[in-house]
Amino acid sequence: MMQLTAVVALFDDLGEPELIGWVERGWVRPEEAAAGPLFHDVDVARVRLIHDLRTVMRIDDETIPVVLSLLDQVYELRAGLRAVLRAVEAQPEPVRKAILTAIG
Amino acid sequence: MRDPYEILGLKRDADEAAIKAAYRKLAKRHHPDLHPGDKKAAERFSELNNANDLLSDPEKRARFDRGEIDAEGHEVPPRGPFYRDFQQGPEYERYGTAHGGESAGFTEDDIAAFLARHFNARGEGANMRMPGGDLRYALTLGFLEAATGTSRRVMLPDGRALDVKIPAGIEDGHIIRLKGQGRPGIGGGPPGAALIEVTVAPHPFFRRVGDDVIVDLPVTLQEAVLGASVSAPTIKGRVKLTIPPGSGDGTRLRLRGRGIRQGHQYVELKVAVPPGDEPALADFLRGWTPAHPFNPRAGMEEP
Repeated sequence: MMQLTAVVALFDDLGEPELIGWVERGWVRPEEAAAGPLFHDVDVARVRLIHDLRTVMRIDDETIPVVLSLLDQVYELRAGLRAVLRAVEAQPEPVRKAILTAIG
Repeated sequence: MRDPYEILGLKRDADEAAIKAAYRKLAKRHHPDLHPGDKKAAERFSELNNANDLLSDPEKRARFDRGEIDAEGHEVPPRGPFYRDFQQGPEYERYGTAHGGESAGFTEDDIAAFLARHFNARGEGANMRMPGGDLRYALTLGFLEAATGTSRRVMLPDGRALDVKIPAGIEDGHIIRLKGQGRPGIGGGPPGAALIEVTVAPHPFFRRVGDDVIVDLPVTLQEAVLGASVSAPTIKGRVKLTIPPGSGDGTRLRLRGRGIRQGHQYVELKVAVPPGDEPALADFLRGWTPAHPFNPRAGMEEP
């Protein structure tokens, strides 16, 4: 887990106020702690993604929430689909066959 | 590592703007977090980063061009972990809308592989006839090449060279589809296509809106007030342009048919006040009463 200053130090062009702004807008949701926000690995990876979206792909700040929201939905759908596939795999062969036939 | 120019689809003499445009376009397409189910995306993205790192540093690029270093020697450390690497972990829940979560025991990562296993593999088996896969390729064009059309030789990853005709007016992001130039088909199936994704690099002074070309043209105070005949650049060479007397900053002149395909070129005048002291001009302006007084800030009176 990392403090805000340590996360900022990973990038050579990211300022603290910028990252604080991302947290305030809910783009990144670090753990709230008494000493300030604590960034888990997943949060740091998300910061890196937002950084790439803005600097490498030049997506402007108005569009970032749209991209993140769609991305979150894709990831969530994938998690849901995995759960369904796992359930299908756990079924006995005839049930599995019946489901797959019914799908397509 | 493949040749960095080939990865970014650049000619050897590509300028900085072309490198940037190509890198940006391809990074958008291949960023691993935008392809959570595609294992190869991380590899492609790191290839792009290596190529960009080498070519966007003039010193490294020059050394590479002279053959002093090879692409291998300058690979940047692999990036990561990517955001997508957390999609199966409990931590990811924070960014989902529902907090359903995933039990830790499930390891089926590649949904596509699962689907392929269960849906494509039904029935036929050995006699399966399948079209070959598509090959993707990047090609970066200069603004003028794209505007007027050109022909470029593209090296495919399998070593073949393809001459590709680029039609005039091709737009940034366009994908040229060359049927039959992809991977060979399976079991007698037809071959796939070569997909060539085009990036058009920006030009220092031409801009494009549809098939029209817009260029800002600086003129002197005398040329704007008195009128003049000046030479203006177009995408097909320089032309004489008549500036009518009394032109102002932002005046738009049309050069009919000088744009892309049937489009026009628009020239927007930028009036340049002479640099340095001009005592005669200052004296004249002090004693000058305009025949048509006006307030250029009339619309801005009330904040």
